[in-house]
Amino acid sequence: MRMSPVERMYLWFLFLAYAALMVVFFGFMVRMLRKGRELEEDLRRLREEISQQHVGEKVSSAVSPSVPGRELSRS
Amino acid sequence: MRARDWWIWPFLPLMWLALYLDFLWSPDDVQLGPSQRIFYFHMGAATVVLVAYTITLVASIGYLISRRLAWDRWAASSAEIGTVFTAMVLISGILWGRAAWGVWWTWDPRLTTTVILWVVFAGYLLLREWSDNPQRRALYSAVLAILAYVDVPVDYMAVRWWNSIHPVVITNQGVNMAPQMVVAMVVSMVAMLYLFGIWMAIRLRLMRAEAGVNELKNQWRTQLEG
Repeated sequence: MRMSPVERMYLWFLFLAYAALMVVFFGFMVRMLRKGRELEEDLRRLREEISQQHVGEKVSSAVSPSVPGRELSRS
Repeated sequence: MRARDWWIWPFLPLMWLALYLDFLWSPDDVQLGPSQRIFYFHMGAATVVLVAYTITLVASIGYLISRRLAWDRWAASSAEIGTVFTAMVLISGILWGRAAWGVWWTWDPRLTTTVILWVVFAGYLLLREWSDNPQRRALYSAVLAILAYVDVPVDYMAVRWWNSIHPVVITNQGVNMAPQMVVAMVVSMVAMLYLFGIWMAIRLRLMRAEAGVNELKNQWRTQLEG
């Protein structure tokens, strides 16, 4: 089964179409890799921020607005 | 993108080379003519399937031994991508079968075991959505993955054990193809494996980030409640 010149040309078109598709796909993968790395970096910073916040620490409230409590006097 | 991701760049020229070899450089098959070219895509995808599910198996065993969730993430990522590539194998096989055998589908042992493989690993992915408890999800998934992997060697050997009309390309005597076709096939396999590697990196990063966010949410909730 031999191909005609027109059929051979169709193979070229197929090759070019798939090659172009791969460029788009490659761009998408590059973008996803970059986004993934950014996400990991953001997560690392968030983890650091949260670890510095002492959310669970109980502090005594101020007895009046003019008398600072422990949380204010510490700074 | 940082320089750390430099390894992705050779993918594009490699894939272009594979496409060139597949479409333009490799000769036509005597009987199938140009439709033979589906085979290179089919074989490349099948190679990825084998590698992907083997990684899932190894990672699942790794999880059962160590109970570390990093193993589970490897298993899940690889199974997800393997399932996509199994679908590609099935679709390309259906197209090739129509050209070669004149029918879209036949319940040949190789085709049947491949469909079973796809269904079982699709079930694996569904099972993962069933539980929010990471350890429980990882445990059930690991057990299912090990059971599901039994079909991989059965799928590979199906054409040798039973009467099958599916061609046997790789035999004990070598590869049953013209040398140019072998080159095109090997380059396609390498390009597809490269694609799998990139996809794994993307998926693993996302899964690590997802696990990290969940961990922080739990930590935050515990602190607020405490």
